This record gives sequence, C-alpha cells and structure tokens, in this order.
Amino acid sequence: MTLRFATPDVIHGLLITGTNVNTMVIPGFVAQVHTQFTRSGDLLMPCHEYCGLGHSEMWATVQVMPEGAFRPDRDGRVSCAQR
Amino acid sequence: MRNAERLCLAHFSVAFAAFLVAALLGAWQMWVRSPLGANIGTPSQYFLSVTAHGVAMAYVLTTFFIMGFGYFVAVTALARPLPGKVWAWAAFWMALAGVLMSVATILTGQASVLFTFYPPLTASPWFYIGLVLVVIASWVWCVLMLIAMRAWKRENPGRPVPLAMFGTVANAVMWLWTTVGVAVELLFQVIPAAFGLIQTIDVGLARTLFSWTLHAIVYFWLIPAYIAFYTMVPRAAGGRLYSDTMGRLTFILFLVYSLPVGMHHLLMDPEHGTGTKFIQVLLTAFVSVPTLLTIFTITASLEIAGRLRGGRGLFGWIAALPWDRPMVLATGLAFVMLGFGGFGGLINMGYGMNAMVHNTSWVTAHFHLIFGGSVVIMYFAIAYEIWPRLTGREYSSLGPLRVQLWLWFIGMMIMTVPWHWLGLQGQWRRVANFNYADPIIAGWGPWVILSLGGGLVLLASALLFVGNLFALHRSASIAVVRPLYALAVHPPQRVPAALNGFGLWNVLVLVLMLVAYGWPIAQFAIEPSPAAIVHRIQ
Repeated sequence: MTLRFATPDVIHGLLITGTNVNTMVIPGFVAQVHTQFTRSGDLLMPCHEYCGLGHSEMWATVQVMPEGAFRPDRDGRVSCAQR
Repeated sequence: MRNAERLCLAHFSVAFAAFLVAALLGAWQMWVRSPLGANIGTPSQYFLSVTAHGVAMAYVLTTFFIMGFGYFVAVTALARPLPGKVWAWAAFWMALAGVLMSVATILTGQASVLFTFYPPLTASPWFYIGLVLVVIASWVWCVLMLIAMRAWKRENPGRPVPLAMFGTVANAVMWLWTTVGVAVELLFQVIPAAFGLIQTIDVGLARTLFSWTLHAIVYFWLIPAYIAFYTMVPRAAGGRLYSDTMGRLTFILFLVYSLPVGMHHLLMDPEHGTGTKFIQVLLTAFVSVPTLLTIFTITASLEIAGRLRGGRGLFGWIAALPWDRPMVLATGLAFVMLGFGGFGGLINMGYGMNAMVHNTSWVTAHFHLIFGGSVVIMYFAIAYEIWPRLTGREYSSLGPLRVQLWLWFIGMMIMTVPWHWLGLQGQWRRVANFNYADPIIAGWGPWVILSLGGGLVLLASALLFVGNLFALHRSASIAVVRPLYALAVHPPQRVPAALNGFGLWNVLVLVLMLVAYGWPIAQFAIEPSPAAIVHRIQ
C-alpha cells in the first residue's frame, strides 16, 4: 500500500516498528512510502525527529488487521473500541 | 616556543573541560531515559541537556582540539615558529566568547534545538551567532595552517611537506569547503529567521545546505586521529611507517570524497529525487577507500614494528607489540571500534537498509562508536603523547593511562552494542523518555539499563582522563625529549606537486560538488517549494 504524509508546522519523521516504513516529514513536501504489511498486530508509529519539547509524547499505535476485519463507519473511520 | 605551548594548552583545556561536562550530561540523559530514571527530569531539561551535550562534544571538544593540535603540528613537524601568533590568540578568544554566548542561551532554555538545529524551529539568534564565531575562529586557524605550510615550502623548495603537516593542511582546506553549507544556512536563513527579519523559511533548502556540512564535518573531527595513525603510531610502536605516499593519498581522498556525499543523511527526505540520492550514495562508497588504505598501511607498519621486536610467524608480531604504551594500545582499541562502526556505516549507506535504521538508536550507536570511540580515544592518546612535551613533565606511571583507555573502550562497547540492537527493534531517537508500560517498549528495558552501565563506565573513564592530566601537572619527573614523528620505510625525497599541495584537488572538489549538489540546490531556486512558517522556541 502507499502511505503519504505531510506536516503543517515543523519537521517530523516517523517509522513503523518491524516494517520498512521510515520517512522524514518536511514542511512544504509530501512524503510517500510504499510498503506491504505481512503480519497483523499492533505496531508502534513514533515521531522520530525532534519537533519541539513535546516530541517524546508524539507516538501512536498502528493496528494491522486482515482486510475482512476492517469495518470503518460511515465517515470511513475506525475507533479502537471496534476492533 | 613557550608561547606556542601556552597556545596549545589553552585550546586543549577548553576542549577537555567541555568534554567532561558533556560526558556528565550524557550519563544523566541515559539515566532518565532508562526504566530506572523514568520519573526524573522534564522534557525541557532533557532537550536542554542534549543540546549542551551535542554542542560541547561535536563543536567545542573537536574544534578546540583540532586547532590546538594543528598549532602543535605546525611548530613541531615544520620545526619553525608559528606565523601570526597574535591572530591565533585572537581566534582563540573569539571562539571562547562564541562558546560562552551559545552556552548562555542553552542554559537559559532559549536554544533547545539540539546541535543539528531543526528549522523552522529557531532558537535565540545569539545561540547561532556564538557558533558562527567559533567557525570564523576556525577559519583563521585554516588560513594560519596554509600560511605556515607555504612559508615552509618557500624555505625548503622541492622538498616534501612533512606528512603530519600535509594531513593538517588537508583538513584545513577540507574544513573551509565544509563550512560553506552551514554558514549559508545560518547567515541567510536561520539567523534572519531567529531575529524575526523573515517569517518563513524553505526547510528543504536549509536541510540540503546542512547536509553539505554534515558528513564532511565528521572527517574534520576524524583526521587528527588519522594523522596520529600515520605519523605517531609507527614510532610509538618502535617501527617505521610502511608508506608515506599512502598517507598523502589518504588525506587527499578525504578532501575529495568527504564533501559530495552529505545527502546520504537525507535518504529518507522527500525534497530530493532518487537520482541525486543515488549519485551521492555512489560517492559515499568511495569515502571508505581512504579508511581501508589506512587500516592496511598502519597494520603493515605495526607488523614491521612487531617483527623488529622479535615477533615471529603469521600473528606472533601482534603479541610482540608494546601494548603497554598508550598510543599503541589506543590504536588497537580504535581499530576494533572502527571495524564495528565502519560495518554499521556501510549499512547506513545503503538506501534500502537505511529505511530500517534511519533515526533509530542504531544511528546514535554508529556515530558514538566511530566518533566517541575511535576518534576520541585517539584524542586521548594524542593528548597523553604531547602533554609531557607541552609541560616538560613525565608521567610517574603509565598504568592509570592504560586503565583509562581500556575503560573507554569497554564502556563504549557496552553502551553501543545494545543501542545497535534497540535500533533494529525500532527504538527511535531524540526522546526524553519512553513509556515502559507499553508491551513492546517494556521489552527494551533491560537493554537500555545495560547501555546505561556502559555510559557510567565512560563517565568514570572521562573523569580518570582529566585526573591523569592533572596528575601530570603535579608530577616531579622531568620529561625526556623523544622523537615524536615516525620515519617512513622509504622516506620521500621528492614527491609530485599533486602530492605536495592541494591546488589540483580543489578543482576536483569543485567539479564533484557541482555534480553532487548543483541540481539539488538549484531546484529550490527553479521551483520554490511552499515555505514553512518560522517557529521561535523562546
């Protein structure tokens, strides 16, 4: 799949643990990464570039799930409670 | 000569004072990031500390050490007084004023942008101006090195410049090229933004200019270690340099290939195409050549020494080397760290593999091992070697010196092996703390604690290093004057002009820089990218 990232404020960067997803996110540019997730599970997706004093708190969890288990709501969103 | 000794000691004192403070901060940072210090310190204290650690280690320790060492080499290798001593002292005070200016902004929390800056974040303008003063002082040093070599050549027409000075001037010439990138970034983008003269900044261009400086600066730090390998180690081991020409080629190759390769720091950046990245990765592969030449030549030189001391057989010469001498011991340990660090560097260099390790602890481990390990352990060895010549006093025992070097090596390995491993697990860089309640991060805890142990060993070694130098100043023994520089097996009588100066090589650098950085920089003028709004952190 193709992932695209952009930033409205300062430099960020991200990786997804255990995958080859790793990119800088630079103001003014769209970063694009192609990848294939081979296993389902919870992976970490932190900001890995210094973006200010709150940098350490900027991290997320990526849930990789089989296509059939992915049931977005009418707005295309999935909440954690639904999994 | 007395004035020259004071000049060298002044530079080294500032360098190692900064080093000691930075070592303390480094250990503290490792502690608060570990599970043991989870609730200690705030992010603002942490990033203030990281900024101070980086500035002290990467800008103050290195620049002051290299300038002091250059003045020492110019006086001793050329055996003539240093030209422009007044300028040298003026540069020293200017650099010191610059450091104090930057430190003041860091300590008041106005400069927590780390030593690599991150526009559109901007710190207090005085932080950058302080660092610019250090760079301008280093330019004065570069010019003095060039003048000293030129004066020696005039007095010794047709003779080859002594290798130690040739390497020093190669570094000075390379540094003049290197600093252009960061100087343009600071003077035309970051400082005007920090003063509020401009409200937006082209981040892609800023990063490109910084990458111009970012890799060659590492070779600026590294070359003094290589000068010691070629010109001091063979003598300390009791042998001769295997080849003077290899030394000249090595320093020339560093000048040529250190510069057009900085974009390998931007492999994961979106503002450049794969074509320009590919060109610079290709050139990066060449920069390993001078290191391979050096490993070969110095190992051959040590083999000569080992066999002269009675070593027999395929490996018997290794055991026969005088490992009790700090310079020889440091070289052996530096080579081991260079081996591990160099291997890691080859992985960073590959586009595909870089995606696995970019901005993870793997990279932190890599440059701590290469710079903090191989290079700084040679700074110690150089300091140990020349301090008696500067003070006229001799160590009462070499034991504490050897212990200090071993501690540095052991500490560096214990710290960086877990970091490499954690990097492969995806542990990211530049964070004040980790949430060890997360199941993935919890598994990293024991490795982080292990690396903290390495950091504490390093801190002990840093304290012992400074203690050893203090003890020397109180030592009652008078230094015995020994020759310092190694003779080559075949001392050069005459060398081609290309191996005795840098004119030709400057042309080649210019051509390679146009190839490597011409389009990547021009593209920002041809098709300007959307500018980012400046974020002032104060």
